[in-house]
Amino acid sequence: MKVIYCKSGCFLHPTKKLQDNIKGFIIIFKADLNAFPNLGFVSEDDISERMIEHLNQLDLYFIKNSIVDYQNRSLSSSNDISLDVAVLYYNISLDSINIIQFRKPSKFYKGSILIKLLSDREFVIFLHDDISESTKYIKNYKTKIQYNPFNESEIYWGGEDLKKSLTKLAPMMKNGENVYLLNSKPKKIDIFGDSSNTKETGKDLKSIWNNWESTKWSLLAKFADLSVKVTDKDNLKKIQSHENVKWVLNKIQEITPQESKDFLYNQQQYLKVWADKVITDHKKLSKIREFEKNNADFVYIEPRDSIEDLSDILDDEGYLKITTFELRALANSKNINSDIRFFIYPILLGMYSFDSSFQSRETKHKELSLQYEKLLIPEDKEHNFQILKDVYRLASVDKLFHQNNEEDKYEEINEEWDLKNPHLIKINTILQKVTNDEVGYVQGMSDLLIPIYLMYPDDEVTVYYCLKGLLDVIGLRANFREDQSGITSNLENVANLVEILFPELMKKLKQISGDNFVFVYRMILVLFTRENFGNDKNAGLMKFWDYTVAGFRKESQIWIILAILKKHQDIILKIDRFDELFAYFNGIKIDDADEILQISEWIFLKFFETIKRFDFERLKWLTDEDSEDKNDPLGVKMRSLLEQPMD
Amino acid sequence: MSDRRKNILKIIILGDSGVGKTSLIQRYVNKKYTQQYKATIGADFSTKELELEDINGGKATATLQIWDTAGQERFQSLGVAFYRGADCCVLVYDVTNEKSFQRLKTWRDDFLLNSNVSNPESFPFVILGNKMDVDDSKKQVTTKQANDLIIELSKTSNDGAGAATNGGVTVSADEGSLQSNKNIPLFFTSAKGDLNVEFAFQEVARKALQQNQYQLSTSMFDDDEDFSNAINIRLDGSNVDSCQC
Repeated sequence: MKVIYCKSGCFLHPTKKLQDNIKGFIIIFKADLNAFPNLGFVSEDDISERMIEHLNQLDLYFIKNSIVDYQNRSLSSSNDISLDVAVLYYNISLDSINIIQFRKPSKFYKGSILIKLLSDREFVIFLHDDISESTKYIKNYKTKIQYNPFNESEIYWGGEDLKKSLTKLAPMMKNGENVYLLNSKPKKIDIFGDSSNTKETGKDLKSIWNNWESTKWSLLAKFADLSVKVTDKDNLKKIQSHENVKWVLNKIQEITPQESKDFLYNQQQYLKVWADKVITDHKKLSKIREFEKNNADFVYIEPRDSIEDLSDILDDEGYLKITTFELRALANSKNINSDIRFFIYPILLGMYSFDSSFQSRETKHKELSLQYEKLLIPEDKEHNFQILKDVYRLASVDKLFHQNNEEDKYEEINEEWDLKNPHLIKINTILQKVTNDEVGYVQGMSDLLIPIYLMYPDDEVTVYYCLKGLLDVIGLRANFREDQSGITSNLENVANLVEILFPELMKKLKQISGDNFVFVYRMILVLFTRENFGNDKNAGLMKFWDYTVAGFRKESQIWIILAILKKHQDIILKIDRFDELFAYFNGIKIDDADEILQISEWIFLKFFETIKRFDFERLKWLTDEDSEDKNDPLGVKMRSLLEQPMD
Repeated sequence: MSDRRKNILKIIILGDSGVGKTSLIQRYVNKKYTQQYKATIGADFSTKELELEDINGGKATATLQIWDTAGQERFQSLGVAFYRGADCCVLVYDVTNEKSFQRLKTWRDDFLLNSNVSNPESFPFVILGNKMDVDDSKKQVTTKQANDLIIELSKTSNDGAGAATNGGVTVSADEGSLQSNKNIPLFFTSAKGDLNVEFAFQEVARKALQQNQYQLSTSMFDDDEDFSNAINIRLDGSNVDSCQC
């Protein structure tokens, strides 16, 4: 038997009594190298101490599935310790599983997985994250290291690494909230020799077919992921013969009724070619542009809805009444007042978990305060001087930061970069602590701190963790990297989207050398903090911030930028020179943030619809043998803009 | 040259963060000084109309387009987008900060690297030592050090057209310029105390105009339509458009 994955801290709860819980391991294994993988549960009661020790080691060993650069712990006990299949409490072939539901931990329950077989039998295995060493390790790692907010690992729990391991072995199709479909067609069930239940599934098939429209996109995305993993771009055959790819293609075959084979054939062709990835090519984008057919223009009618009452989203104990997804959607599409913002920012920015309460947040705050105290400041004097110079110059931003009394005494201050205001001194420390990494402090970071600081002027710890979240959870730190990779990627995406959606504008920008989009660089880098929002600066600015902090749209700033471009399109079209364009953008006034954000969403949908139309059209080209347009002109990066948060 | 632009002279201001680039520009363009300038992000520019004497002795009106830049090295790569078509580059250091002085050479080299000017040997630079208003005890860069640097920088740029056209300029010592027979003029300024700023920028404008006309004369034979910055300065009085194309 070859163990492919092992997870400790797993429990069966046969009754409600704690003492009846059965502690053990989930293992995924192959009986021999060519066999199809099985998922098993083994109880600690059924195996020797030595075997328990071995499985605990394996648990840590497979951390490498979740953390790429994890230093493998060597397995001290020899690999040939064999586990007898007979001791397995459960032994389920992945082939016999219909769906797996990953149920996240909540305030009352441990996380669990529900496995439903094609025979309708169900099994539930609980994951006690607090005693699983691998889960604790990964969780710890993820909170330390920068990670992608759109990654499903956002609120990390033990089910995530299990899911990841399963995905590698048997591609799963997302089939609802946390529900993944593995197989849909009845097969011979091989569990405890039980193969009775073979009726059903006429109904299931139909519902899956109905779901096809909605699940297809995630399936296609899954395929794209796989093909990226397995291939270089010239190696189509290799992809097609790859085990995982075959698996996906077979799945599509299985879940579709006979009469739709023709459609399916097209779909397969499409998938195969999609696998052949190429870097986005500007010229090719013009092909996509043809499918941008929605001629109706955006019409602004009224401001967005507002959520005024904190109790709409929060219960008496301080738990969120709505799901993570709903919270993100809310911050994305509605106006929220400052009370709500004050409450949800630390959650959205990763300081507190989504299932926290008043009480647990208070505890967490204390814990984080201690951690914050211990954080080191960078040793590099030049680095710290750079911070000091910028902090010093924040004095004019808000009354709170003024360096001396109303009477301006030039002679007493200035030129020595001396901080006298206690808030500026705190800000200086926060910036030092948050930049003690390889990116370091870069101008503009202080701008990102200000709106947060003004929300929590008396809470240095919360300011620090929110700023850190903005940099690492939302991912803005990438924009400050020395190689400019983050910001360049943003600007490229803006350019590509304008090329597809607003060709007339792009033509103009090319004429005046504005197609590098450096004139929106500042907006992206400091998240609109330098923009002119008219009279009520903070209200407008914070609406843009809410849209970003929500984490609902990938690279949220670019949708706002596109909306600003769209809104000012008529003026831009009349500009004749790059410097005029630059000056115009540096002085641009954003009168109505509500309108801009509605345009942002309108543009997102416009893009989404365009790509949908384009993809369906491509199916025709792909079946045409003579067609040379077999590559996806959009590219992975642009496609990923359509992703939504997974939670 | 179909792009009949106004007579614009493009000036780029470079130097470490906090040396007073924005303050100098604001002092020169808007005649004001505050301590309220936040660190510049990306770039920005201000414009100012002025009247200049042209190399032929005629009067020329021009618009100075002064580009303010971010002082942190990290933003250098962005420079490519802004430096193009520059007519003069102003390097600023803070007399109370030796590091900012030491880095002038790097700023100059980076500019030449990113701007892709056609005459790096003779492209005009002007150096400003800012914050002269502060107490002498806090100054970290001596006049001698500054002079030595000028000599060094001037050596590395092999006197070309720039020297030939600007050798005749003399500046009296009490106005604070240390330019003698060297290629790169140095001015001690204070944006706060309004010391020498106007004067320094006049020299900048003059240098820029020379560069502009030099560019024009060389690009007359160039078919590069794209080189829209080699614009022509219309001479008052003569009313002759020296660009005959």
